[in-house]
Amino acid sequence: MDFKATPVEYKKIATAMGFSPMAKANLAEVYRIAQKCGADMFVFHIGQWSDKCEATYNSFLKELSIPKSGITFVSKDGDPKVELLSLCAENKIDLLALGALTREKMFKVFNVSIARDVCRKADVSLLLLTNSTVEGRVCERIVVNGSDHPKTPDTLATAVWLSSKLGSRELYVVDELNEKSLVHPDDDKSQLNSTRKRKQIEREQHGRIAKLLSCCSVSKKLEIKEQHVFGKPGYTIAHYAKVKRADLLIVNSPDTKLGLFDRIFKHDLEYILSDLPTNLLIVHTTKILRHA
Amino acid sequence: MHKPSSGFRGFTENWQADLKAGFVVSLVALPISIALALASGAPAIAGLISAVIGGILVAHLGGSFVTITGPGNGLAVVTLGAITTLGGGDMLAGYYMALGAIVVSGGLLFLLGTVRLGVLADLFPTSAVQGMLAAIGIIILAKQSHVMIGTLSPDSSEPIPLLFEFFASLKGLISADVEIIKVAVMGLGSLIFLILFSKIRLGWMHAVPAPLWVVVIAVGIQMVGTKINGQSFFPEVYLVNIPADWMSSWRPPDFSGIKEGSFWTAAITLTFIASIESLLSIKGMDRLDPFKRKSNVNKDLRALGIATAVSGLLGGLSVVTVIARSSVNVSNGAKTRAANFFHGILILIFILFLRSLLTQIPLPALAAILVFTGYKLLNPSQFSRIAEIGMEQLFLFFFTLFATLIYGLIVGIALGMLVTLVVQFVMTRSGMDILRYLSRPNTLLYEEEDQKFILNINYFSNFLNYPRLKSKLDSVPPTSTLIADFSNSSFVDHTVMEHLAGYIELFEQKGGSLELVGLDMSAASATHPLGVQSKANKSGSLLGGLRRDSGKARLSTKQEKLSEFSVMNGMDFTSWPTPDWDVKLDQFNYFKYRRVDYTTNLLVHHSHKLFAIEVSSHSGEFIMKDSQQLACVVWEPQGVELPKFVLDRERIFERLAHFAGSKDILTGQIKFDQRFALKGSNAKAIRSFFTKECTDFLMRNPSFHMESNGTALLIFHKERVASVQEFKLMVNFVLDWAEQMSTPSE
Repeated sequence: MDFKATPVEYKKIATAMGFSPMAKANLAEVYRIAQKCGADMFVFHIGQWSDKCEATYNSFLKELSIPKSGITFVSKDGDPKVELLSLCAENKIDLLALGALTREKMFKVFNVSIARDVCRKADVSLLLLTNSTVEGRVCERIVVNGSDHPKTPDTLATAVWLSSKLGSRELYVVDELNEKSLVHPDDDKSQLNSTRKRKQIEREQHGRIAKLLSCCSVSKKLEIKEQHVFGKPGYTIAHYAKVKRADLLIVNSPDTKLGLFDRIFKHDLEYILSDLPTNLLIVHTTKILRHA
Repeated sequence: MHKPSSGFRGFTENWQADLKAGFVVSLVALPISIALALASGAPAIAGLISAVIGGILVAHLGGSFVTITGPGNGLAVVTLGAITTLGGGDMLAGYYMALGAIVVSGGLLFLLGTVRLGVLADLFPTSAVQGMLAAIGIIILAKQSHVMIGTLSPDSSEPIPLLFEFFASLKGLISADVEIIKVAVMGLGSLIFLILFSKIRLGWMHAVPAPLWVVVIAVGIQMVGTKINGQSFFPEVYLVNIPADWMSSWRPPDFSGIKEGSFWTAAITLTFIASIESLLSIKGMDRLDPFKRKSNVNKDLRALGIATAVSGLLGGLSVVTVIARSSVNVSNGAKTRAANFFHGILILIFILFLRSLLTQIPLPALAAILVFTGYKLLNPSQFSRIAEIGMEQLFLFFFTLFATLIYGLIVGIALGMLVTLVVQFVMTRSGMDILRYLSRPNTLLYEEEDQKFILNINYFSNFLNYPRLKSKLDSVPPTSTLIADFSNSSFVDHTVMEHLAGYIELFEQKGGSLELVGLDMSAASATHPLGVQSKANKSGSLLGGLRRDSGKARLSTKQEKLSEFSVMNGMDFTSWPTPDWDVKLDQFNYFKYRRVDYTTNLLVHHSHKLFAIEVSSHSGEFIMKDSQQLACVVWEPQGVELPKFVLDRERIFERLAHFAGSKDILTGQIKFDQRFALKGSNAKAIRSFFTKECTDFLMRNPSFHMESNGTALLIFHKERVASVQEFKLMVNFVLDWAEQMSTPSE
């Protein structure tokens, strides 16, 4: 394959301002990321912008010692989901960072928080922040999707690029493999066959990932580990990120926009979204997919 | 031991051993097959056909090794039900219609094996299955106790009234005919003999199995009595009936009911019970197999399906794998499937040449064998065992038992499953979790290092999502190391614990190891190692209680092993240390950004001033909470100046170093510097601490993470729950180091 991995470099990062308990921490976190990436920061607010809001917002900026000039602030009235996306398009935003709760409430599946709704319709890369803090933590360990998919090269390149910007030291490339490609072991003989087959698949995939990584400019400081996991796609990587206690999980954008049907019959991204293990970055590739 | 070869070579190498085992088994199978046919309400020959076909076909097509196939206990009840309902009172018509259902059920079994649904049998909660089997025992016992005392057609048909009626008929015996009394004495005598048989201390008597003794003695009495009397000693109706023309009187099964619901109910029930009985037996036999071979369950199901269909066509009962005859097979030295084949062939020879002898077997003797079998299925000694696992399991057992007796097998087990689920809802207080995560995957399996697998289980693990866990467990070669980490799951039910115990045994047999971690907190609130392991009571009060009576709390298997380890190394073990120990951890930077929730498994070594402990901590609060369990050692090295530093390979401490603003330090030992990242502020003191000896020692050992706060060292291996092996490795490492440090260098 003659693919070329191009990292999606984030130049314009936006966040939506709400007044949830996490608002301040989110603001701090997004500002830090924008600083590290050398990107412009936008803050969008959808709804009535009262004086009280203004005062709170200003006090946040003051407490976090963020200069007001460093941020482009836009406030607009209307339906949050629609407006947020149109604002992103107007300002040519390439990364939208939102605060998210770690788990959807059972009875709110049909009325989920704005963050998730936007995520399901977004045409920009999306960063969902689950554990932002005012003080900030180093994003030490990143788990990235490395499965065999046309979007993967860009996602991987973005992960490498971001890890150099955020100063991460460990990058786990998780290759999700379909269990169905293995023989289900029934007895001792098929067990041996199954193991052999598994090793063979892992070797092939290792070659593919090594080739992908050779296209990215990996800094020497970054330790890259590869893990092949057989299991349900989407779910497996989320569980792995949870077990490995990753600070950031990076995945491909979904191939189709997710509808109500997908929410009930969960697959891929839906597994991750319904139980966020950590901060999540959904990389939206702008490049036209030649291999799709 | 050398594994027997497969195929024809295995046959030629082992046929003597298999013939001997097959012969003994056929002697046991002969009376039992006839008895089970009678218990099924079918002609005696039906049971024998089932054993012959089962032996011959499954030996060729099956996927297991030392199992014996033939008519089964559980199925007797189902078949009787099918014959009675399908025939509508006419037992003979019912029999031919039931044969049709048996043929269809054979097809269904084959289908189950083809779509690899062998796993279905694992889907049922253990206590409910036990309850159902016990109910089958009671049903057999209730029916056959009447035949045993000479009442061939009792008034009632339901098991519970039948039992009460039995005592009434027993009283009625006093005023009964001499003929009936003869029969009753034969039956009751046989039962007493069977009960006392295991107590008889004459070695030669045990050369022949008890049921065969009963039959031989009974036939002997009948033949001698007939000689003396000049006419049949027992009335003809109380003798086994195998017509001389049994072969030519064959009639095809009656499929006329195929469009009716009752026909399909019968076929499905037959399939269901046949698969459960067979799969439980196959699993049991895999553990008894002296060569530790693993049976191909789905292949066996297909073979049983074919055998059942053929047996049904020829007029026989369903063919299932039976555990009692199979274990006789193993204990008589069977090596390959040929033993099953010989057992079938020998029974065929018996029917052909000893028919006249078989027709002399008195029914009460066979009924006594069945009553005894029923009693063994009920197995009252298991009540206390189940109660030990948990009173809720005993409740589930009896609930399913009575539900089965009243509503029949299928409804009984379904109700048992439902109530098990309700009990879990209440007990673990995680009903919402069960509903939410039931349909979602919850397992993650990956190979951390070569031959070392990590299996992490999310949310919860019970009988309903066990198939997912099972498929992961099956995909790991049992020769490797597997660590099953349950620290992310809120509870694990009894069924899963029971299956896991089986897997632990399997891994040990094959030279690997399976260890369960993350259950310490649950173990303390459970009453039995296999009971429901739930973290529902993980409240402050429970922890307080545990810490108060640490000595009394129940230990998990891991804790028991650690306790042993501590004794052997001159250390003190405490399963639930006091909060004082938590405070000692807070002195380290690593725990500065994490809140310690509680600690477990404290091992203290007094002379080296070190302790090992497992810490459960979290960072963040509420919904962003990120909990973690970690095993670590804290050590105050004596007689050396300890500088402040962090040393590690995977850079876990970088996070802290970032705040501390310290810099990288090179010791000058090139290889050491390449392998480890050492950071600190006082470079000179650190270099003098890391002498050549010290770095050499660290290079020889696996890399651990270390943080020094100036007075003590915090040492740990991985940021996850440690297995016993890993825990020991870590403690040994620090002990060695301490040992080395206390011996002054030359």
